Amino acid sequence: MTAPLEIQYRRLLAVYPSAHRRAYEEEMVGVLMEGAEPGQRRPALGEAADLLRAGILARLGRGAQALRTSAWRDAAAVAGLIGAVLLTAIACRRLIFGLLYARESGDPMRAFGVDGGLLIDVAARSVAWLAVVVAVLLAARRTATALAVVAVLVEITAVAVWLPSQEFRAIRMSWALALALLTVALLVLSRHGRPAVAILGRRGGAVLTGGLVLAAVSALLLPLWPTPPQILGLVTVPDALLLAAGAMLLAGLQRIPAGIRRRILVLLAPLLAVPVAQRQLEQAIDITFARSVTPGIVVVDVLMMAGVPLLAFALAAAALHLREGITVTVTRTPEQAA
Amino acid sequence: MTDTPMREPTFLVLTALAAGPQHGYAVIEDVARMTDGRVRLRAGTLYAALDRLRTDGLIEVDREEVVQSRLRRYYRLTGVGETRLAAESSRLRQQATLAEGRLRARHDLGGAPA
Repeated sequence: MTAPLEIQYRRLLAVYPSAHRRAYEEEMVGVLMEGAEPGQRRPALGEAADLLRAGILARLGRGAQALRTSAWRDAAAVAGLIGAVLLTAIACRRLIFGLLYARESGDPMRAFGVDGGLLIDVAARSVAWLAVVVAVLLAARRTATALAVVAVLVEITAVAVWLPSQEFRAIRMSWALALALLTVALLVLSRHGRPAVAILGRRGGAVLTGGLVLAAVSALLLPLWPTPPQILGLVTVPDALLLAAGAMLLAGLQRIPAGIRRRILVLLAPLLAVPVAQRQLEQAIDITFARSVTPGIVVVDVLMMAGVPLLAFALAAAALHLREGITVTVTRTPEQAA
Repeated sequence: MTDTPMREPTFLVLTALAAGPQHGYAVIEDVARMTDGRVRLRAGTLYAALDRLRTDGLIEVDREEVVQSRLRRYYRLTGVGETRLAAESSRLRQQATLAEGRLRARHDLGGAPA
């Protein structure tokens, strides 16, 4: 019969990753039991704390180690490119809308003698992220990472310049900063791996770029075309372009090896969770009626913008773990093969 | 493998294994003996060090035994481990020599507190 102390030690050892347990559990139980006092029924507090600390560190270490494998680095390179493209598209869209408004209604800053003054921050963000995209496509990984850090600083400045007149600007733009930081993290992770263009391949890259261009065209058409014509009475032209863009993006990703493709989706999960987090945040703090930014609102902001993407990543990573953990191995003996 | 200074438990585990192959519990006992009871490694700390040292190729498994239905795995120092331990010992000796020299000079100059 297993001693109660041994059961307790095994429960504590469950905190270690499975690979570590396979390698050391029996041996560690032996050492722990050998060091136990006669008649001891529970692990000493210090021993238990040490096991928990070492087990959690081993788990974190293995997680970080796993993220440094080539498949994850490759996936990070593509996800980083997608993140930078998203940030470019968002900033460019704002810039185009701003320019169109200024053309139709006149620039409100003209009265102060500063043409386009309201669009300087959006223009700076557009240029900064476009530079990152170009550097990634040119396979200049270090430059891309450095430019992405600069782009984050531009994002912070773009929020800061509006703060004196718009107290809630930082809260409303939390998603932009979260997206930017995630993109930097992806580019940092990918800097020792293959460049995104090498992973996508020439055809995959062309299909993916085509999809992105189509998506951009459909986004640009929307403000210019208030009542767009329909195709066969089913979908509007911009929607059809958007669907075609989506299909091309999926086709581009489909050309990537399955292992890397799945990891790209896992890494995209936190990026896609950012807008969800922003919506949840604004609902949680009731931003329409909130009077001022309190320390509580700042705490909720940080927790949600970090927590929701992290949760999305954890869920996607768990799904990947389950998907890849279930493997069927068929072995045949020479007699069976004959 | 890096040349950054070793943490004390790592240094002590390598020192214990420099005497010959030992199993986990024997390493704990040996370290406690070497340090006059000042350092008593816990299992979590010991196996974190052993796992890292194995990954870095500084130690390897010598043999396994089953004693009273418990697994005992003996570890031994590798050539790389021996070189790394020698380098770390030399680094510590240089630092200790430097500190002693400065303390002597301080006393010779009469800078020591009364």
